[in-house]
Amino acid sequence: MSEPSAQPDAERTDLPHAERADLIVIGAGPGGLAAAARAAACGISVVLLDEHRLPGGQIFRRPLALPAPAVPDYARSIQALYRGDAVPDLSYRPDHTVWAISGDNVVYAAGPEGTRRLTAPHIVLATGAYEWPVPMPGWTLPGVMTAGGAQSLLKASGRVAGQRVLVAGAGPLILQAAAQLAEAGAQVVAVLDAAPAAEWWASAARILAHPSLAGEGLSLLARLRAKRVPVKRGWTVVQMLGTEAVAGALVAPVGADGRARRDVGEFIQVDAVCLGFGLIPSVELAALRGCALDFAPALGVWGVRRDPGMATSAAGVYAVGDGAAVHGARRAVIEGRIAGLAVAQSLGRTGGRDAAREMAALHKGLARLRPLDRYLASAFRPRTGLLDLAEDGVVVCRCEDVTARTVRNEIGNGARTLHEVKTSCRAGMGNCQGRNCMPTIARMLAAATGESPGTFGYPKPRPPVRPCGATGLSLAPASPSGNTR
Amino acid sequence: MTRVLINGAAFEAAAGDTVAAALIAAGRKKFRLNAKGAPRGLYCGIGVCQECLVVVNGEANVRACMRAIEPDMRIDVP
Repeated sequence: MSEPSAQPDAERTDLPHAERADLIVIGAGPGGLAAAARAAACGISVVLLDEHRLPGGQIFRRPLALPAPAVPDYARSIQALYRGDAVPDLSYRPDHTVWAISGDNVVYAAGPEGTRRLTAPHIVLATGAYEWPVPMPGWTLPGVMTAGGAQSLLKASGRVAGQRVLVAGAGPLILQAAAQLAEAGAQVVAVLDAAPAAEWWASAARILAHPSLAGEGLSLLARLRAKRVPVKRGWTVVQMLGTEAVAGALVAPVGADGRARRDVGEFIQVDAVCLGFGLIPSVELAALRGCALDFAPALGVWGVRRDPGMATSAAGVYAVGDGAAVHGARRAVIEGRIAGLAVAQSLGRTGGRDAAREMAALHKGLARLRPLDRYLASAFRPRTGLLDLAEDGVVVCRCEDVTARTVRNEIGNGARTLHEVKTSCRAGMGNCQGRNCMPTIARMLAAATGESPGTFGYPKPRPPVRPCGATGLSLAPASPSGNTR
Repeated sequence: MTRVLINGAAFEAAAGDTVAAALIAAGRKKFRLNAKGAPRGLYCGIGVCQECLVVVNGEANVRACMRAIEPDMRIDVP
């Protein structure tokens, strides 16, 4: 890594020229597309960077070879971009992985031709979310994957993860994944939701106030019934078995204390297990850029602090969608439009329309989604009782192969911060930069100390936050802005 | 269809598939062995976890879930 330097990144002459735009949007999911479309409609020059080959994010992932289907009504504003229509003033760059942002808004994106530097006074972060890791015996076996990963595989290529599939976790996404897998021809042996029935129905009741969401939920349950997929509430998977790949799973009821009752577990023969216990916002670029983060205790995750216009604490940087706080695609589209419009307002280029009135209407739209926010907060609440499943021999940090025993030993030896655990046993130092183990380790620290997992901070990210190749690394920003902790 | 070579054996994958989708279609779930020799496969499926790294045309550490297949691509797995 280069030595820190006081010189602004955008003005460095030892590096390739940084391409300029009015706005750089990072992520082409619902939030990013909505922001890009709204800003470009005002004649603002937008570069839209996305890691995937097609726009739409994980929720609207689709096969490369087929035309784009119609998006749901709530996402109408992104249909043109999703379809791949050329939009004036907008340059869409698929296959570009953003791996760093400097303190002066230089964005480093690795694409097919190596790393490009781009800069803009405004940046919208729309980085999406990833699945909660719940370490348990056998979870590293091939054939065990996230429910979202199985959905992406299915949506993009029509491939089902296995023939006999167990889907386990909590919340709405596992129901969706199970329905899609069953309809694509997999035998879904069961969907297990760790929330006990009473809690499950209490959560579900929160969205009954919203007619279209209630309808969507009921139709999902009907689709599962039609495929004879049993939904067991208050059950979880506790172990995966197999040598070269998963061949079976142990499932068990969840007790009133939130812990799995392994003593009354059952064995199920499967060749794939899909896990989905909730989502974690991908805040690493925001953290790298120096945006303030907040810990959401109800969800047990870090999110990006924002004002009502989606502006973060870093000048010119906005954050929208699940990458800032997990609220789903409906909200992401509205937040994206708010951010796109806010950028237009700050440039004084709202195109003659009544921006204030539009902004008020968008905020009304957000208010209408509050039942969904409350539902997700309840369905995705942390399942701390399942931390017991991370028995001593279970790998917690998949990249560096660090077990729960090692982490607990380090905590026993006095490690009291994520950083101390990391430096003492290498957990979180691997390729994924701790995305998959730090949430678990924060909970292990919380369990040992009685503190909130938020106490232990968000680990300071370092560039590259994603793989960038050796040539990319030689361009690494000299002065990435530091994060809070 | 697009022909790829999985450990040298020809396999017809669907054009536009990712390397991960082609491997799973070919019945391969084990994508690599970690430093301790333990098998690993597709996990997050969205480019975050770095578990699905495979060797493609001799290039190591390629995320199978992100890379698109190309005609006659050589994919090597354990």
